[in-house]
Amino acid sequence: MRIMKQKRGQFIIIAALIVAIMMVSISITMYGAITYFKHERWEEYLAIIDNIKLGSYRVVEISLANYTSTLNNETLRYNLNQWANDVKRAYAGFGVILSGSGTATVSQTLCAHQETAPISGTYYLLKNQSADASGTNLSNSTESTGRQLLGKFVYLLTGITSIPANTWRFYYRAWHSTVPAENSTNSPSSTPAGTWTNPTYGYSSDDLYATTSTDDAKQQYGNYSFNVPSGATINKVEVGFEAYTDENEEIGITCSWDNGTTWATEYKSGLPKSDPNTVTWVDFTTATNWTVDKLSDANFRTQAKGIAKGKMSTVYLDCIPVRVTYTVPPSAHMDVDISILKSDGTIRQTIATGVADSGALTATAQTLSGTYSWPSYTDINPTDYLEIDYYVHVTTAKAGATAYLRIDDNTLPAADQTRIANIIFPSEGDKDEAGLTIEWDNQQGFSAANAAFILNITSVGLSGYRFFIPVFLGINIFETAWDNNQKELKISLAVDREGAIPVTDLKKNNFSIYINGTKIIEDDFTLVRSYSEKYDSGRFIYEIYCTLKPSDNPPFDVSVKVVDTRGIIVKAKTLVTK
Amino acid sequence: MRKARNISGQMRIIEVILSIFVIFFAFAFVNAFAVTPLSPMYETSELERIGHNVLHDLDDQRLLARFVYRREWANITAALTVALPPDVYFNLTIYNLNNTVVNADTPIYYGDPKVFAESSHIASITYVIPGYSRYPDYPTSYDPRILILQLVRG
Repeated sequence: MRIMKQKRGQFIIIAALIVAIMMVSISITMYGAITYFKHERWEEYLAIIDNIKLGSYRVVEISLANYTSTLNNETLRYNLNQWANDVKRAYAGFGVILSGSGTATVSQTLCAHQETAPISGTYYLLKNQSADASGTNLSNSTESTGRQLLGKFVYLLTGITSIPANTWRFYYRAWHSTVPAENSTNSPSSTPAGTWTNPTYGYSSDDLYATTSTDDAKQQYGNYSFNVPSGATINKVEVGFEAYTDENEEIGITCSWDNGTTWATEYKSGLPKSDPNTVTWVDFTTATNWTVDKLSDANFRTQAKGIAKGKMSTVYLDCIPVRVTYTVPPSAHMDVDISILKSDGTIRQTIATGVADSGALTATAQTLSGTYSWPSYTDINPTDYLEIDYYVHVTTAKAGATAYLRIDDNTLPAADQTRIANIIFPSEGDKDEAGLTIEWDNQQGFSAANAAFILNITSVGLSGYRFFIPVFLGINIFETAWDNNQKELKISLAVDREGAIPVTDLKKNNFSIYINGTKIIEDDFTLVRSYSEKYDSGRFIYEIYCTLKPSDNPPFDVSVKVVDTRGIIVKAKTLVTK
Repeated sequence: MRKARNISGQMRIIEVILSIFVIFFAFAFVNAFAVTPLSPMYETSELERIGHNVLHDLDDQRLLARFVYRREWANITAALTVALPPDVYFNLTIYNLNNTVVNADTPIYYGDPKVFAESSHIASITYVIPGYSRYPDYPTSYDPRILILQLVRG
């Protein structure tokens, strides 16, 4: 009977042992599982976040590089939207959602397009995108001085409440047509030097002759009295002669453009034995780079020389005229009128007239530019337009010539298109497409010359069917120092990703410090944000100074607990031995 | 007699409770000092972490995009070989967004291909690069590549 009772007790003990073993096994399994999910899975997500963050920076770089060549302000927004979609596909199953927040102010470039606006009158459109057509020319004659209209352009200001002050730069793709050439044939009226007989008989073709019977005798003529307008382009300079000889002599013809110091290569010609009564022209265009000044009476002169062929006879010179061919281009530049236009086509306010002067037009198409200091303009009606009227301002008229402004030509590089740069429309960057906006330095803006930028990705969120990890907080004690005299313990702490939402701006009450298991009250420690080149990468450094009791001495078992704004707790421990 | 039996039963229960505590603490004590080998379950995660770090470092140094977009397959192979531990074999496949293999003509790998076929613990890392900006030489459009890096211990 006693044995039976003892056997029942043993069974209970065996059963209890089995239960205990099961509990311990389950505990170990649970611990392993929790540790795995707590650390290993999060690591995977953190790596993806790093990848996406770095990739986002690269997207912005690429977009800015593209912007400098295309001037397409939508490039950045488009690429970031694409990036948001593509990372979702690339990390399928992780539930990646790339989002950001912030505001942006971007300077715009408005390009002149050939499409017209739906308001009364002919108004072309300004668009914040590069040329997208084969282009067209706007033109006007230069036959009279003053400002001649080339075209009116408008940009709808919907969604824009103000346009802040900034220096706008206008680029004009402009030129004028080639101008018909003119010529002037003049005779001399002076004989600066020479040994010929009756040299003044060479002034005109009147069958009275300047003569020489001496080999190598020279006769100079001057004062041709050309009245070529300054600014004219000299196309051709020719010296003519009407001469004959009794035998076989030749004549040498040349000219000088610096009052006889330098002479062109002499042209030698055989002569008829009677007056031909026609002028033979010798081209000296290539002798020098001709200017109006070189043709002045002070500088220009011609020379005739008798050249013997055998026994010298007489050389007769009837006249020695000079013919100059030149073109006088119009003097003109581009400028604009700027105003705010109502939707009914009437002017709400004239902002500026005849501003943003370009350089002078030439016969070759050039991209000229001018600037205008735009004053701040506020309280914009959402149906109003910004109106820019392009003019050619002719200061020297030229009949038969035309000034041109090229617009909307997609064969031209973006930098050569007719456009207006550095306009700030604050609300443009605020558009939120597909839930994605990005924050960048609103002072820098975009410009072709300087594409620097500051990208501040405030958060990268990952949400999915398993986890939601907006940010991850981790801490690490990387250094401690004990001051035995002051009884002060310094703890240097690196906090991961503290700057990301929602873990922002940790305060003293987020920290709990335990020394040898005893919590240090807030009055006994100070918290200082610091910097460490070695440990700062992606982290924020805090230094904690704990004042301990006079009797306290190492070793200290130090434990720091940080609670972030979401209530997530992380801990770090270390042992201070000295 | 009845009272004595009751006391005996209570003692059994106390013995049982004490036994449970003794066994539990014995396990806990041993567990605290035991250095158990790493479970193969964690091996993949470890390799994934290494792989991500290597790719991220190369990208951070602006090397990864250069290797990929300029098709410098020898350089990327060398870089991965140097950056990864010697006993880790890799096989890198680069896709564009149409799921076309960009490096189909030149496999990028290190190690015995048999290991990839036979190992049951292959880590696979996905890494995305959006494009390669060569400004001011000339800008490049947004054109992502997806890198699949497979790692296995040799």
